[in-house]
Amino acid sequence: MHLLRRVAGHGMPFALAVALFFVINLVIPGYANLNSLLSLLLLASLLGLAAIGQTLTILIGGFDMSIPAVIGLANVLTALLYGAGVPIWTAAVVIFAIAAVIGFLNGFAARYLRLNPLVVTLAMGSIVLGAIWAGTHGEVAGSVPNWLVQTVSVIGRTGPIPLPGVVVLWIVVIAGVLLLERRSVLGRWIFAAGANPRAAELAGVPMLGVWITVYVLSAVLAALTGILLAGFSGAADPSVGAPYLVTTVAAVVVGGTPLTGGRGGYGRTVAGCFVVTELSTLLVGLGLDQAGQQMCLGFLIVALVAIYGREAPLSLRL
Amino acid sequence: MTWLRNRLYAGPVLVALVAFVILNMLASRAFIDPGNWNGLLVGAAPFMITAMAQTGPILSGDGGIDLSVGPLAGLVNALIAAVLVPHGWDDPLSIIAATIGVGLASGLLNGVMIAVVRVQPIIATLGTFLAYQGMTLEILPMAGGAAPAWLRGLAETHGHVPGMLGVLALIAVAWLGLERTAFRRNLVAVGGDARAAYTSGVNVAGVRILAYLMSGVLAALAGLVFTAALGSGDPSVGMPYTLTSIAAVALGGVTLSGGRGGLLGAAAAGALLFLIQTLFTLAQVSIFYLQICYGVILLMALALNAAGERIRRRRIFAQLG
Amino acid sequence: MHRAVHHPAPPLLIEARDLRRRFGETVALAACSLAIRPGEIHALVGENGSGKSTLIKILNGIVAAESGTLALDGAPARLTSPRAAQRAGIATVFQETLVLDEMSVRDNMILGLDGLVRRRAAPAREAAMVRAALAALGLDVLDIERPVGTLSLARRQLVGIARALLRPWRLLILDESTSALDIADRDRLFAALRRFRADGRSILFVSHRMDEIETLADQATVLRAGSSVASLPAGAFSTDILLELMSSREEAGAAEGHAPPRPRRSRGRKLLSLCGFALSAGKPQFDFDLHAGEIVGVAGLEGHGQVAFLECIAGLRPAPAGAVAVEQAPIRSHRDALRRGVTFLPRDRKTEGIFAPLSVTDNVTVSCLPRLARWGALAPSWLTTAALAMCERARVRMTGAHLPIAALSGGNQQKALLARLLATRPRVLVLNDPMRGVDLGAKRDLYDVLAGLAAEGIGILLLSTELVELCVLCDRVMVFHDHALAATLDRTELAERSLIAAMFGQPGPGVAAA
Repeated sequence: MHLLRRVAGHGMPFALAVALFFVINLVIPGYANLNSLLSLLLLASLLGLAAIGQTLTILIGGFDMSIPAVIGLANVLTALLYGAGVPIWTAAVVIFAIAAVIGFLNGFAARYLRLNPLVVTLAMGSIVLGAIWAGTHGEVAGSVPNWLVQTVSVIGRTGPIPLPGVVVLWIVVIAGVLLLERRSVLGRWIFAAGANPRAAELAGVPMLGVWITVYVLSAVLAALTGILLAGFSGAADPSVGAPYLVTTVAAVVVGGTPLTGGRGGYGRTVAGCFVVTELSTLLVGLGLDQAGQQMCLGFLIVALVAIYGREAPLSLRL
Repeated sequence: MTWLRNRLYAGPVLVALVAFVILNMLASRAFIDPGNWNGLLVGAAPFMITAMAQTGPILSGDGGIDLSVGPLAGLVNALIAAVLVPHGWDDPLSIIAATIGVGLASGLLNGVMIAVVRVQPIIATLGTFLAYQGMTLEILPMAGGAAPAWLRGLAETHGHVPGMLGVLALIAVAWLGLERTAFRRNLVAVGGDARAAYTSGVNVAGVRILAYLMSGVLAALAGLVFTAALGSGDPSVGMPYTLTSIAAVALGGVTLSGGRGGLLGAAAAGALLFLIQTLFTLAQVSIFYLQICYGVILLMALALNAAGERIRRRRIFAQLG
Repeated sequence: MHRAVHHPAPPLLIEARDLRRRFGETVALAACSLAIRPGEIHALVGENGSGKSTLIKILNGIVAAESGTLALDGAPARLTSPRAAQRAGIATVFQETLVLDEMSVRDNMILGLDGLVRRRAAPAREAAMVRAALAALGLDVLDIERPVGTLSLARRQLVGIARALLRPWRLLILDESTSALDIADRDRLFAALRRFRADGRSILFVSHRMDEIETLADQATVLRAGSSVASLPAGAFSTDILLELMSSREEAGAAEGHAPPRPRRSRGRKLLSLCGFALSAGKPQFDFDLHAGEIVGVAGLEGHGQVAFLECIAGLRPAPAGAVAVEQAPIRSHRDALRRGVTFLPRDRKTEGIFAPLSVTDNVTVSCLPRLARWGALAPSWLTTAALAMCERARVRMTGAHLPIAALSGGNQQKALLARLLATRPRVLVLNDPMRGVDLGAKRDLYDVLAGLAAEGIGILLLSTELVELCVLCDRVMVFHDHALAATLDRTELAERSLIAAMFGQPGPGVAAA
């Protein structure tokens, strides 16, 4: 019941998602079919997994700009390691461990050293991307297991469920994240940390621990997205994560989580993921290229923040 | 006295700059040859000018930052190479007017969004970052076009005087002039404590808009400068300067939460970043490592900046006793 | 009852009528009127939270009144920003010293006189202006290039006043900006104020010091609970009359009548002990023990070290000298303090206390989540139960614990924060001015709650700026002056007069031997 009420409470972005679906149908005749719907779900799932970290870091008052780089790293490593004969699960463990280290460094630098989280994660992203290019010179051989391709394919199934594995995975993860937010100590601490960092510190919230955990989660989930993307394209590409810088932020903001921290949540981002994915489809349908799409998303982010994410005027801060 | 005290913050970076000049000289004989100095200055200028562009917004405090610095420079480059020159508007007046116009328009857009609409600076300038990048790719999908001869002349020497020196001198004179006005005091006050500035009667929104206008014009000028250096247009050349400009501001001793620092430190740190790059090139390290290096430098700059800030605050409070 | 006094012919400099302003749920000003004549020193008195600061913000164009009229020289005035107020000739020295610590004295004083780019005066003339304004207050010796942050509080207050004097003003507002001044400085300031009055300029003077008001003011307006209740000319008011108007019978009862003198009990066991403690290296050291069931007051003029004292005990800053310990276990960090059951209530509810967007439940339980959880998991019902129990103990009045805490009144927010402390099962409460800006009913509740907690054996350190409160609630009061413990007043010596004497560093009974 509680969950239902919460979902109903964020009706707006969900309504927008549904409305956009009909708009796309008008622009691209014959869009409304099972395949389109499945591919929408699939793309939204990938974005949804990557956007968990962005949601949580924004909730605590940070940012994670290293998500695209970690996605790229995981993507390349999956193909390389599996191609070199390492079992996929071992490869996954190695990748998650590396991602966790990156996340730890992000959280530590942002909270313990009190460095600007946006700039720290930008720098970390730059280091990680540089390392991938330096290590591979941009040419990645390797391969991915067939079942991984199936998991991220529109025609894939999950046992008896007629949905690709990644969609089922996303549904499970959504439930997990919502439980984490509402029904765990960490979740409540995340909201407190974002709502008023000074008060949270005084109230005994272990701020450093919360920040590091959130950034580690963000990096590990970005790595998971990167592994899945290796299955999606069947080959590795260091820059595969690039679009996710803007789309993850857009999904959070469109969902209605303000950048001021402590408000909103992943439930809203889920709706935002659908809106952003549909919008991309629509823009492609209208013939816009990558650059044009980014421009539109950028405009959307600024417009939405201008509507409901504005900062308090100075006179009220006195 | 005051003049010196206001610039003390830049001390460490100036020392580091001298150290890196010496290191470069030790690493390569070519560095000592005055014939190469112009080329070095041409390479360093975009770093320095974008760093100066980043300084105003960061000084203005309250999370002030201008992510659009790099893409705006790139947009100006694309505009000159792919729009102005092909249409025959290649005379100095048109190009300089267009550059400054684009810079002012961008600064006004960012400034109004931030100071009046009150969108967080990160988000507002992320929006313009994406917009300019998109526009650049629309205008100039791949490298090409050409800069007019007079503009390329900026990157050459004129009777032993590098043209770039003229550009930098012009900026220096403009800033020194501006420093004599009330703007600097207002900017530092707004960045230091916007509430105190507001209750004192400072027009906080106006000061912030002016800071972003300054950023826009300087970033556009950086675009003009690397068009001169490249002699053509390239849609990918502008973007990386956002990152280096932030790193330079941090390295330059400017307090990242606003209120302390100036253009001198940022410009010196911009030159320093360039020298680090040349050192890499001299050591024949793959350019792929350069990106790692920038990331590491940015992190180190942030950490040093924060540590310096802590020491300084402790010193101020120690004086109290 | 509004006892407006009819003024003769000369137009009023300022006339405010029935100003009203709310902030969220709380009514800051209900019906506030104020009339200031040219050439008048006008005192504005009222308790904390009576609306003085909101009225001053309106006169400064920082906030706008929702209804009511404001006239300057008889013509309606629109003050939309501090800049506009300055242009109208209103200069203000705020209670909080709103100066830029790292800027020089000179820059701080000139700031705001300039345009965006255009300077008001050439640098050389600027320096002369600044020196002249400082000299008027006896600060001729001050190096005007020194950062303001390195000055003592008293000097900073004087610089703040000099800064206001530099502006072309007709009305000078002094909002409790004389609290740190010594007698000589204050006499000099008052003499200057009288000179200004003779020039036909007006001063709106806010102070808690009744003696200052009696000697200085030509007229006094009294605010109570957001309304102006009286405006009396000199001669018609006295300290007693003003105090009575400020507090009304009902309110005086809040502290004195309602919280009956707590029965004297034998001291419980020692909870907290300070050994060889000092607030900075050079100051005299002292020992202090807090016993179970004891309420110890902490007093001092703003900025005299009493807040730092609380922060050292809560582990928020290291003790400059000596040690703080709970039963031999030292407190070196905030975490230590929390682990030993020493909890801290910060002064500023909004910036350091509440999580505005979160529910009352979340706000109350945030500090005790690990205890409530099983394997890190929480059921909403566990949280609600715990929160409701604590809210009842702290007498939070609310319609539901699921509502955002921002929806509660200030007093209930404060009680909810106390509930948060109680949820950690504390042994020592360190409270930084908990009754600040809290309405009457809530104050009463808080007095009761604190007395009850002490009776349960909790030790309480209570910093308060309201002396009556200290006199009534505390078993003894530590008074700080100039970053040192000036006196510890026992139950028998406690009186407003002795507290004030100690706060001003004047020797009286019970001065601690250094």
